[in-house]
Amino acid sequence: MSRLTVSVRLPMLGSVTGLHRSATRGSSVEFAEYRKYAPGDDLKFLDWRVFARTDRFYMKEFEADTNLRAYVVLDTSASMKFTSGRFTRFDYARRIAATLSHLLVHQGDAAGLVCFTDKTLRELPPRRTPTHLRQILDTLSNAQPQGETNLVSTLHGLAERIRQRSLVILISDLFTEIPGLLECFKHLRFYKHDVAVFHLLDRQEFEFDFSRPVRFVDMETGVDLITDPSVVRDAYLDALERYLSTLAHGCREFDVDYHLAYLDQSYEGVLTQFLLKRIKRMKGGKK
Amino acid sequence: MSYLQPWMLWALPAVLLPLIIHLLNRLRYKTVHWAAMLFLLQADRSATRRAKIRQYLLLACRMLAILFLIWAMARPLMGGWLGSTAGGAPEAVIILLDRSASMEARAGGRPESKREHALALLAQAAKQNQGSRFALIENVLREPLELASAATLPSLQMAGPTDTAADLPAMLRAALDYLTKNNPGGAELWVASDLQASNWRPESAEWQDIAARFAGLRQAVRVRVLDLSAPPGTNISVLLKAADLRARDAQSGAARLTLGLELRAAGEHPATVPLLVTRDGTTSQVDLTLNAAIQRETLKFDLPKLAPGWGQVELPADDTPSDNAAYYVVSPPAAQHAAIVGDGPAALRLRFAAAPDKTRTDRVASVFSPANANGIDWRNTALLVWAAPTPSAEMEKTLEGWVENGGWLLAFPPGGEAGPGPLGLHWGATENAAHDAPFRIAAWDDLDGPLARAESGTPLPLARMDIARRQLPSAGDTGHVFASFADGRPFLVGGKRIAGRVFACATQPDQEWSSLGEGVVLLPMVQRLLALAGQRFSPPTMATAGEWSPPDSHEIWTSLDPAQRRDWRWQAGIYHSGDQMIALNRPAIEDLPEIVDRARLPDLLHGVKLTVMAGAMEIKADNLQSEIWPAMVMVTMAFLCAEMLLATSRALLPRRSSFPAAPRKPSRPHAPAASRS
Repeated sequence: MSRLTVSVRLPMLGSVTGLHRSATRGSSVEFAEYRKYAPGDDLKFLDWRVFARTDRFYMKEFEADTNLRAYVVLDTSASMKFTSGRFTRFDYARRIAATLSHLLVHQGDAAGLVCFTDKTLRELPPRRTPTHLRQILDTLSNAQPQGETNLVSTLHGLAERIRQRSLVILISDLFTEIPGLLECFKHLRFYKHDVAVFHLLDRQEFEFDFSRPVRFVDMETGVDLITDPSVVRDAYLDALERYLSTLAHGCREFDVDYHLAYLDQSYEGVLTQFLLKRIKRMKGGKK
Repeated sequence: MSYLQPWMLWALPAVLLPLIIHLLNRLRYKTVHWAAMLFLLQADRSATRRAKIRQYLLLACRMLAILFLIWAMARPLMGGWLGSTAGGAPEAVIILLDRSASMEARAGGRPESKREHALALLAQAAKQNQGSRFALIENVLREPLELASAATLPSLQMAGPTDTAADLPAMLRAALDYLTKNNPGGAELWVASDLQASNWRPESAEWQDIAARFAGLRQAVRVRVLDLSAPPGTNISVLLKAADLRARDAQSGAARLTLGLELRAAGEHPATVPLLVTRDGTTSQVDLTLNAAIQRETLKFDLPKLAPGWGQVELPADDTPSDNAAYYVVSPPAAQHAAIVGDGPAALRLRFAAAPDKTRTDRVASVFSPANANGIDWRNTALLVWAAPTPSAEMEKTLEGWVENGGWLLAFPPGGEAGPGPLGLHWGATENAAHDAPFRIAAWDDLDGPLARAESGTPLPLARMDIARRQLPSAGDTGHVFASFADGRPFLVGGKRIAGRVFACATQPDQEWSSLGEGVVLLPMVQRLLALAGQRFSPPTMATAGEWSPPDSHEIWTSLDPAQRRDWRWQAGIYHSGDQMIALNRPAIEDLPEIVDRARLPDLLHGVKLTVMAGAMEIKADNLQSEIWPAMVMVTMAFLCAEMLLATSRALLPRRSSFPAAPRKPSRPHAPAASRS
């Protein structure tokens, strides 16, 4: 996986030369487009062949390569502690976050980290240095899931704070109201951020395979509910289905790169799928 | 509605088990910390009413299944249309078949006997009750015999002809025992009988007990009586009342066989009937003139020597073939010894009464004074006549042992004051009658016992006896009064003492006491007692079919005529086992023509659903209670099936839209993961 790169689907505005397509024209060897000559233009970019054929002056412009600023937004609310297997949802999430940060820094891009619950707990701005990577890893290592989630306000705040185009990678269980969440995605996309979402679900949350009456206690609020799973199972699955369907549709609408992952899946596999898909899409876009 | 096993209703609280288990399960929840409460709260709010209804239906199905199962196990009985719909035919049909000798009569011009006709009707009626269990109770063994198929009834050996009598009350008791033991649901009793009064014994107090037992049954039982009482066309019956072989001439050894016959004629019959008499295989004919409906005849045959013999008397065939023959076995009479303990002329009169004919060797009587009573040959003495004062304690003990071994004692009063007599008897004080008003005997048992009528039917002249002095005996509570004075005090009492018997007479055969010593009463009384007491010294040669059984159960008794395969248990004939022979005849009561009026049957079986049918068995559905547990079990099964359907299918719930299955954990660690983007 170390040979793979984290690519973006949109042109970025970086401060230095990098692996990613820039929103501005630059000096790379990759032709971008023609434009009419304007006084003051450097004549070395004038296309003399076109002038010979058409007797008009056209300037050749080339793509610019720049670096990437990526924000890994990690949900650290108490619901991330849930598990029915070996690893909690939070363990799974910070493995993804750490791996992506590592890949970004090692390919010369800047990686930042935002840990949030109902408020932003810790925010590390994107930097490209190995020291910064270590700081991210230390933060991930020390983070403990607790408290309630306020995903919507966190994402809106983040959208306002990020000034340059960036890659925003959200890792969460997304247990919030869909309309508010989609508004956040819309907000981020408005500022031309490339948004990717890792939606983490446990197999038990998906199958709801309880047989006896259960007292369910909300991991975030402590609210409890005693019910017979056989009675509510179908309604629960219906609600979950509607939720996932609406979320997937909203993500498609706002061009959000949505990935549903189950905790019993290999996180390397999930990440590989994510990276390969983006690389494939980037190459396809250049053609 | 009534129940055969009402105690099962105590299990009804078990109906609440599913509810209790449901509530316990709800209380025994486990706690799960859950993240996706968002959906769970939505689901709980919108937990559909149908899902809850499904839960309630499941609970109801389980509770109702248990309810109906317990109900079925209590075996409810129900009448009316529900009972007949759910229950159907009675579970058990008990056939009470009277196959006594009188049922072999042919009536109504039919070629078959009443028994055969009844069997055909019963088999035909059984076809209408295919689902019932049939049991046969016949009059000989009175043991319920389960029938695999009622169609085989006419061919059963246990439904064949017999020469026995029927005891209908006993057969009904056997049927009641069967019902009590097997406890079937609906049951019917089919009684096939000719309603012969001697078999039904309508005057018996047993009927009250039988009616009470019917009323005590949990299930309602219908009794259907097939009335076969139509009289036969022509019938003459012969009954052997006595067969006696005696020495006729002591010097030549010649003997005389005397046969006492009773002939009964019914319907049109010839004036003279030929009677075939067989003696030791040789048959001769005697023409008898019938003058009366009941006629007694005595046939005497001189025989060259006194030797055991056998034979039969037989009338020509008529509508009742079973009463046309009678069998006898005779043997030289064994000497019967009587001992008289007493003094004076009374003792001599008693000896004369015991052995009046000195030429006869079968009656021997000896007189002993009270002081010499120890000299009595106890082993060979059949009857002891005690006409002496109270015996000594030693003699009392000897007497007690002798009576317990089968000895018969006849005691006469000692005179004087009140005091104890032999073997627990007690004498009252001596009473003297007024000179012109002697004590008279007003009532006595002239049917049975020592004072019964003579063979000719003439009663003994007890009423003419003059009794000047008496000493009243008391035999305790178990004693039977054979004769009593006009003032109700006992004249002759008697009672059983283990194997023997003790009798006591209130007056002495002495002129100062009474005219008993004249002999007209004393002689037959002592003779009968001696004959009965002597029976234990000689095996019987004649008995009644159905009542006799071999003294040794290991002996094999077969018919004397090897061509006839007769069974001594229920067929008349001559049977032998080694040197022993016995003649079995049908019971005398089978010749009695009286029948029970069918209108009286409801009174006998008071409170019992009774139907009397004549000539045909008409089995119609009625309002008898039937067992409905099969229907209950079906309902239980239906509820269990419904529960299974509810528990395993979601047919009652709205179908959910297709929901993509979550990808399973890949077998290879780096396989591509599913994506929804």
